[in-house]
Amino acid sequence: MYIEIKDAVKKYGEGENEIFAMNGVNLDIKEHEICVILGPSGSGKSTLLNMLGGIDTLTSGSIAVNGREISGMSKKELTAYRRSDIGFIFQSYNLIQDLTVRENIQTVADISKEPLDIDELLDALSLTKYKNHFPAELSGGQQQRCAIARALVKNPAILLCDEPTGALDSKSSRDVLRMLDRVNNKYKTTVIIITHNEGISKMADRVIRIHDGKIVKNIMNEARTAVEELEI
Amino acid sequence: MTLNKRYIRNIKNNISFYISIIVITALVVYMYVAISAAYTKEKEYLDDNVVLVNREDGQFTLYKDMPGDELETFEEKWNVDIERQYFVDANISDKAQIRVLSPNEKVNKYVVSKGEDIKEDNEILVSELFAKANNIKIGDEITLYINDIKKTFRVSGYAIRFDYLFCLKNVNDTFSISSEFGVGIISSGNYRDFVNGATGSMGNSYYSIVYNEDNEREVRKALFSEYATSSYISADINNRIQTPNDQLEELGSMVGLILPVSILLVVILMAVILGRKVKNERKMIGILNALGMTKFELARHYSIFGLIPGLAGSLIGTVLGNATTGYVMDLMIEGKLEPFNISFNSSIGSNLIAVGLPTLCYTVGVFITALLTIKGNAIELIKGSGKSAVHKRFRLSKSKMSFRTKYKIRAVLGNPGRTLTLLGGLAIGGLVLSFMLACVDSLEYYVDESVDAIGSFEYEYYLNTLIPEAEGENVFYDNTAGFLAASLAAKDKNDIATVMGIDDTTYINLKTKDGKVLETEDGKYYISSMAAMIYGLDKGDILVLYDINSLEEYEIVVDDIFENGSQNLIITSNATLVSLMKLDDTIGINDASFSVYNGIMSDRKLSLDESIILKEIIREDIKKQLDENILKSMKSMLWFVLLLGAGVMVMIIFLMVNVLLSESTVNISMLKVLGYNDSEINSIITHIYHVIVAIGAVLGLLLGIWANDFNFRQSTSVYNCYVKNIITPSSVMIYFAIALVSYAVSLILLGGKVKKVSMVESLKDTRT
Repeated sequence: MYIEIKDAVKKYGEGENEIFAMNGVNLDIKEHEICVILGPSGSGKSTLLNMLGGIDTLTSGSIAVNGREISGMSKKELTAYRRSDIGFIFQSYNLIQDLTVRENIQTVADISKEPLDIDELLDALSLTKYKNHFPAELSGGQQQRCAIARALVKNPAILLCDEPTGALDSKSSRDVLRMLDRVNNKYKTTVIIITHNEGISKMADRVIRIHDGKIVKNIMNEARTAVEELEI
Repeated sequence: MTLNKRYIRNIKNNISFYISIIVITALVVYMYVAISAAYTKEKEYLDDNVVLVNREDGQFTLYKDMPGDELETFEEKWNVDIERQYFVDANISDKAQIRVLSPNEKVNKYVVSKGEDIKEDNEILVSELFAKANNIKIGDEITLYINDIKKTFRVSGYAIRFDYLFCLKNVNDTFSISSEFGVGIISSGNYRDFVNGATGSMGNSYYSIVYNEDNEREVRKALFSEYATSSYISADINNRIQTPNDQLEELGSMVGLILPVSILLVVILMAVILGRKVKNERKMIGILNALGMTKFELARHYSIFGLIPGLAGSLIGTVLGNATTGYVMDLMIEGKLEPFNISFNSSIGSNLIAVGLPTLCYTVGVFITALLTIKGNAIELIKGSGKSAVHKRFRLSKSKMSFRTKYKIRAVLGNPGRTLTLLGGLAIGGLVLSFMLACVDSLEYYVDESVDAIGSFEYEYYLNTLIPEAEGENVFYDNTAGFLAASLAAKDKNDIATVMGIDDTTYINLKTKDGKVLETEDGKYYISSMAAMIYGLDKGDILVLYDINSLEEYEIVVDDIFENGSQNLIITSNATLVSLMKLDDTIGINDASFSVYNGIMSDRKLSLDESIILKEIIREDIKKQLDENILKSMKSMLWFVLLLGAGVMVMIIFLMVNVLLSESTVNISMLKVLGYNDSEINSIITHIYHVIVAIGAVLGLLLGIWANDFNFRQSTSVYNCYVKNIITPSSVMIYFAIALVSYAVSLILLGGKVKKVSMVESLKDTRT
């Protein structure tokens, strides 16, 4: 298994204020899969993604990625893990406002061992003509494409997407999903998407439903539906 | 209101930021309260007592005696108070001398500041600075020696004579050494017995005068014509009286202008910083606005974030200021002047200003910032958008620079408010630092150079008699140079200049600023750089001087200016001064080449008849006096001010980097997510002000040097010397080292904050 999560627990607060964001999650995800995680707000989707990305730590349990245990990693090791293996895409893009599109991508290329060619990436994501624009000068879809380019430039093994279409209209959403599908096909990147949007689940290999910090359903789609055919 | 719970929570979360604001506010308020209370009380006390003790308007000596009945007639005729002051200098040790004064009844009465007045015959009141410097306590016994006659007195208390507030042996001395000279008051009968017994006379004397109407000029003319005034020193040019006035005046300008301006600058700076912190709450402001809070309600809510640190800081500063006013006064003035021993309590008005000004500025500053922030659309505020205008000016998008460099340039230039606030704060802190360093350097240079500027003699004698050249055989030896000196006052100025008529310039320095050596010539007048500074003169200008006894006026033309920042000196040839003072008529000189002297410079001590010596200046003592009087007191303040300047620098940098961090939390967390480690993030986000800190430090240095120059130019009369503006390379290095350390300390203190930025929390905040 590429990603193995065992008895993962994330608890906030103590005593009466104790809240379980993840309460005994067990999950395996194979390499190169597109995995969509569905669930209502507060179900623990984002917490799970944060744990996978090494930006938060478990209370108990374990997470192993490609055989490497990340739940016991030091801060320094986690930084190195994020730096080399993980690409993040957020609902609100989180681009650095003081940098242009190209420079936002450059921030990651600069610390990557074998970064992809930025110009190729810009071209692939139809961003070439916006490369010298600042985020505030772009539409939501364009900003999200920039965020995808930034996540991809390091050629990560895993792409973690937190509501990537949450702030976009349906056309832009479809564009972004098409990009993610293409990345998965072209670079064999494992893509994990969390969303509220049921329609997106059909483009995935694996669909996981999460509720109150627990996985309530883990199914494999028989076949992935093309993005153009998704009802989103 | 439930929302008000945010205050404590928010302040707790940003505790170092608010503590810095409180500390810096307390510091400036403290300075204002302490110094203004000290000034107000001292001034009040001085003004009241000048009237109460009937302090002299002038003092004079006469060639023709003025007996008691004539004195009374003269007083009545001219509506003046005149009192003959008898005095004698008695030794209490090899070094320490007390000027024993008979107690006056009409003019220059004394005030007992501690202990009790003299009641018994063997009691004495002494000046406090002298007593303390010689470890004399109330109740102690001291033995006075006059010509080998001794008498022991019990010290009944400390007294202030307001005509000896700055306790100088001679009225035209510049420096006092409290361990070596002080005043003592004994009863009239005691004085008569002791002094008469020791000297066979009542000792030395002069007359003190108080004018009860505006007739000084007429009275002085009458004195000269009826009694032949031999010297007249008005209170304006009496350093014993004028130096305290000048020092209080300088303190007054500090209280009235410099301090309020500095406080206002710092307070405005703090208000801007607080405003930026609130601006950082754009999203919350948008949310609260969307929830239905009106703009006014929101602005009022946020203004409390200004009110709390403003009130806390100014209250702390005011309480501390009131508690330590006496100590501050001691630091600023009383080490040099006789202490008044009064209790300091500042006025309610100044306390209200001290508490009200920062509180009001911070509250209003934040209120306005909040109002301006709310002007934006609530949705835009929640989304945190709408910043693109700045980037249009600093795109640099096609530049080949690294993204790190571009980011720094945009962060610095794209946020002019933040950058200018930092620059302003650094300039203020730097100004305080460099001003003090330059001040000490200038004074050290002055002490080192002034002795050389005065001349190369080892001994200089001022005589109380005129010696024509032909009669000088017993006075002038090899390696001596005679001179004629006259003290003349400049018209419309208070300062007295010494006009020296000298032909042998072996012992005096007459070098101009550009190194040219001047030779005295008949009819030519050269003035010292200090005189040029005091009178505002240049080459070719005319100076009108007048005789302080006869009030006769003389007009001279300045032919050149020589470098001497220590003496108010005018040099001409002996014959020119003889002619100017009309001495040729007085002592019947017919030959113009015949010189007349009342002073001698020598390379060794001369064995002159003591009765003809008016004043003896020993080169070695001058430097000691300068060291004692100028540098010692200045250096005691140095560390205090250095700490203050460095403190302001550290806190301003700390606050601005703190603001920068608050404004960059999303970028910091995003860079963390992208895999940047803390030191890499620090180098991109927090280390953006290297160049600005360098510019601010240079600006502060230049401002400090300029302020030092301005201060010494303005205070030439106060200090009785012109101190050249100097800053040594080592001080410049110390200055930059302090600036660098302040910056490094701030970065180290804030480096930990980057570590604390939570990736999860910060990214959650960006969700819409």
